[in-house]
Order: sequence, then C-alpha cells, then structure tokens
Amino acid sequence: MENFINGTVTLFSDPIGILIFFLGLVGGLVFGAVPGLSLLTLASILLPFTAWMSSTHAIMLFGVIYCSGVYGGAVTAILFNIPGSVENAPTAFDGYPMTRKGQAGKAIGYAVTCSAVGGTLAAVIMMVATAPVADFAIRVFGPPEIFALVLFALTIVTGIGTRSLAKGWLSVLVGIFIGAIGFDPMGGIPRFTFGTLYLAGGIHFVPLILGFFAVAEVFVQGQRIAAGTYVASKVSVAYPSLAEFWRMRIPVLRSSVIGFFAGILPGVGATLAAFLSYSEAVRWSKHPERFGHGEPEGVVASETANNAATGAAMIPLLALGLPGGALTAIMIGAFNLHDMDVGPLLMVEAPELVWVLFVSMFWASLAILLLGVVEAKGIVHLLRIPFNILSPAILIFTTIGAYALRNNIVDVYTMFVAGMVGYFMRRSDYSIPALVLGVILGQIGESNFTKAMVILGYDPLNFFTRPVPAILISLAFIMAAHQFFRHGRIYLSTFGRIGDDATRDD
Amino acid sequence: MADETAAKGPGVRWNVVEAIAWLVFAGGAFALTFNFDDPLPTYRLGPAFWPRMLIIGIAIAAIGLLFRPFMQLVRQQVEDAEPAREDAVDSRHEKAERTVTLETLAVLLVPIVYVYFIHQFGFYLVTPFFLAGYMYLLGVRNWFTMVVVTVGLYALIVLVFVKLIFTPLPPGAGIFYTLNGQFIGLLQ
Repeated sequence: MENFINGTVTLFSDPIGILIFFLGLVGGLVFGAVPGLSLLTLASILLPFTAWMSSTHAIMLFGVIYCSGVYGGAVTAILFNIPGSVENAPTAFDGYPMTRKGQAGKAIGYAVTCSAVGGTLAAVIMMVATAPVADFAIRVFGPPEIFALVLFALTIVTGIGTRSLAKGWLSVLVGIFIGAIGFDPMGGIPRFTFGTLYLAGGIHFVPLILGFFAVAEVFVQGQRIAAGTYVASKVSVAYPSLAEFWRMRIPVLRSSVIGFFAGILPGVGATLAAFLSYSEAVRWSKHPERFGHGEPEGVVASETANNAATGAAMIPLLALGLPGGALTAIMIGAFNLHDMDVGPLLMVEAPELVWVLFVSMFWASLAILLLGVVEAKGIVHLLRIPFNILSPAILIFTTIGAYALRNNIVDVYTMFVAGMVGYFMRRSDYSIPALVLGVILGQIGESNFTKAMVILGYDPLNFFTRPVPAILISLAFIMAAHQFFRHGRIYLSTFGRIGDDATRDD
Repeated sequence: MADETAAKGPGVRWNVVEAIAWLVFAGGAFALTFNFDDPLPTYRLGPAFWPRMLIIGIAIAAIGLLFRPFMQLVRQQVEDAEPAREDAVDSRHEKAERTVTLETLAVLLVPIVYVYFIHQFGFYLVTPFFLAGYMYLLGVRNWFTMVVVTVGLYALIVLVFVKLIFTPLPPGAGIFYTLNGQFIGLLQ
C-alpha cells in the first residue's frame, strides 16, 4: 500500500507529469481508434522524445497509452464496424449490431466500464503478484498448452453468426487456411504463394479485418441505399443501468481472469485474450444464438479481456524481461534509453519506477471510465451523419489503414476483395467472426502445434500426458461432438417430419 | 408439401453447387501441397502437414453442407409461424436487396477502380474525385454538401497523415509519382 501511495504521489505531484498523463490518455484513445494510426505508430513517434523526459515520465507515458489505446479501438468497432486494432475485432461482432439496433450508447457504456474494470483488476494483480504469476505462466504454458487453448477457442466459435454447422466449420477452416498461406513457421518453405512475393509474406490479417468488417458494411449498406431499403441506425445515448452492469458480473470476472492469463503469454497477449474470452462467453451463455446479433455480453467479454491483458503483458516484461508484443518491445527501448535493463533486477534496482508504471496503469484504467462516460454521451452523435456521406470517409480511412501497414498497394486490394467476399458471406450464412478468428488464431495455432509436435516426439497422444492440453483438447472434442449431435438430432427430426408429410400426402 | 419442396429446389441446388465448389477447391489445394511436401530436418511432418489437415477438414465440412436443405425446411416451418405482415415486408426488402442493379454493381466495383487509380495516379490526385463520386453514387445530390465534405475531409487527411505523422500514401507511377512527390514536398 505504501508503494502504491508513493507511486501515486510521484505521479500527480508534478504538473508536467499530470500533463503527460492526460496527453498520453487522449493520444492513446485517438491513435487506438483511427485505422491507419495505431498504438505502435504513437509509441514509435514518442520513443525519441522520451529521451528528453525523466525516466518516470517516459515509463508512465507508455503505460498510459497502452491502457487507453486498447480501449480506443472499441469505439470505432462499435459505431462503424471498424476495429481500431485486432484485439477490438470481437467487440465489433456484437457492438456494431447493437448500434444498428439503436443501442450504441449502451454498447459504448459496456465497453468503457468493462475496459476500466478489466484494466484496473489486472493492474491490482500486477501490483500484488508480478513475480510469482510470471513464473507460473512461463513454466506451465508451453507450446502444447497454447495450441490446445487455440483449438478449444476455435471449436467454440463455429456457431457464431451462422445457423449452419457446416458453414461455421467451413468459415473457421478457410480462415486457418488463409493464415497458412506464406512461409511455413518451421522451415520457411513458401506455401500456396504461386511464386508471388506478396503471398510469400502471408496475407496480413489487418486488411482482412478492415475488409470483412468496415468495407463489407459499406457495401451492404450502400446496396440498401441503392435498393431504397436502407434504415439508419437510431442514435441513443442511453447508458447501461446499474442492474444491467450487475448482470454482467460473472462474465466480467471470467473475462478478467482469461484476459489476464492470456496476456501474460508472450507473443499472443491481448488478441488471444479477446477472442478466447469471446468464445468462452458464447460457451457459457444460455443464449449462444444471440451472439453476433447484438448481445451485450459479447462486448463485455472482449473489452474486459483485452484490457486485462494490457496489465498482464507487463508481468513477463518486468519480471523476466520478455516482451509480450511489439509495444512492450518498444517499452524496453524506452527503459534502455534511460540506461536500464528490463528483467528481474529492475524490481530490485528501481522499484519506484516499476511502481510508477503500475500506478499509472491503474489510474489510466480508472480515467478511461471518466473520460469514456463523457465520450459515450458525445461520440454516438457521429451516427447522425448520413451514411452516404460517412461511407466514402470510411473507405478512405480503411484504405490508409491497409496501405500504411506495409506500404503495399496489394494490401489495399486484399482489403477490398475481403470486403466483397464479406458482403457475399453475409448473404449466404457463412460466419465472418469465425473466419477472422481462424485467420488470427490459426497462425498462433500452427506455430505452437509445430513446436509442440517436436517437443512431444511427434506423437499426438502425448498431448494427453500434460494436464492442461489433456483437459482443453478433451473439452474441444466434447464441444464438437455436442454440436454434431445437436444438429444431427434436428436433421433426424426434420427427416421424420418429411416422412410423415409424405405419408399424409399419399 | 410436394409444392413446398419444389419451391425449395433452387436452394437445394445452390447448396449442392456450393458443396461441389468447396470440394473442387479442396482437391485443387490438396494437389498444390505436393509442391512443398518434403520433410524438414527440423520438423519431420513437413510444411504440408498442417494445410493438408485443414483441407481434409474443409472437404468433410463441404460434404456436411449437403445436409443443409433439411435445415432450411426446419427454418421454413418456424418462419411460417411468424406474423404474415412482417414477413411480407421483410420479403419485399430481401427481394429488393437481392436484385442486382447497375447501382449495386457500382457500389461494389468503384472502390476497386479507385485502388487501381491510386496505384497509377497517386492517392492525392484521385481521392477528392472518389470522395465526391462515391457520395453521388450513394444518392447525395446537394453540390454544396459534396464540395464541403470533400474539401474538409481531404484537408483533414492531408493535415493528419501527411503533415503531422508522415504516413506514406500511394504515390502513383511514372509522371504522377513525380507530381505527387512535389505535392508532398510543398505540404511538408
């Protein structure tokens, strides 16, 4: 507690520190929300400037932008179906349908509150148990465990956004297949590249996400405008009531735990956290069929988990010197600029600095709540802009977002082709969330599967010699079998009814 | 009942066509895996193992797609119980949305043409025309609105992405590469 108070005093006793805190908060919100801008862009721009700051301000700034940026991407995902970053994609699955139903205010309210709760809980755990948690996660979670986790998540999402089991599975499998295009993770052998350099690098998931969500939405609504059937989203600033929040207590707690543990794992972090938490919300829900059609629990699951993962990502960074992703790697650069090495010794040599980081992330998460409540009341009015004016702007911003990724025009083509595919997928009952999840988790899954097979001596049965993979893979098979028999029962009953009708006709 | 089943004919046929298309895709993709199926010294299963498992999964799911017509019959029975008036409105909307018109095609294809043009002539030159043109395509007929939105948005994009954060945007080819470069130089 003393450390917490000291860190808070250090943070807020200095007017420049307060200014940097709020600038970081707003900067993170803006860069997290606009496609073409990203937290990495902001962090890269800021890194050289941190050399002129005190080490306290520099580290605090990175902690704050990390927290606010992950929330920022939720706003555009909810209002315009444009996820600001990959970890906000599951937020769009239900957030945007809520907007179409006139519940944008509620969706943003859930996102703000749950981002704050997830981030705050993670910050508290980070303060209490950085070293033991990092040690546990790194020891227990190896490639076999991560692969099993991915398999488990993929099995669950086959039912989201489609009424057909076959089309759900096709969507997931085609997504994983798209993720397998390019160099293989073990030998660097090109697969399905047709000799082109672009495909050798793999199809990046950012243009796909922008295409499947934002561009497809512009096409769908554009066609409705052309057909005269377009209905504008109702603008509502109604915030969720306390009773509605209270009903979400279990999903929030579950997603915080999932987000926290997924966030600790290097290389997967917030993305896996958000997708896994979403698929778990589907699994535990009494109404899984509502997901993908504007179920608030979908927004809650995704936003709680991705923000919980931000705090968790600091644990391997600070305790072991392992960056969980690109942003935490840039943070190592910020530490190095101030002549400090990240790792176990940091906790001993500069504990006050570590506490400033913890405290700044804690207060940033709470500040999101205040800022977000104000923002939620104001930003939904963007929906009053007619869609025929908004849509070219959306296409321009997504074009910039896709191109800025690798300065490659083929990424922009990919995005528009994904938009067209998404448009036709929506009309034919395929699942876009399942496909997107397949692309993202498929890459993580293959990379960990290959490593796991080497570790396990190429015998898949050895997965069952380790407790975590044994449980998760068994659950995945049970889930798949359950889906199959449920659909099979419907099929058999239909078949019976057809038989009865035929007998009556005779 | 016989009539109802007949009415579902195109849906059933479409499912069969979809299933066959997926099976052809799976067959083609499986054939392509023989281009990279050598075992690796570091990984005995080789780079083709993972895609092949996926392709087999896709083929199984495609066969499962053939059972979908029966599911459609179940849905039809449920939908028959819904209020008739709403059905009629939804059905009219659905029919209107499924009709492919010139405008629909333009909504889908103009952005692709835009990407081709920014590749050839550069982002800075083509974007204002796209903004105004797409608004017109989507039914905006007020010239004042079109000009204000186009100029305002273009200025905002240039200010944020070119002036403030130096985001590289497609510069075009040939003479347009030079022109766009000079434009950026002027701005910065």
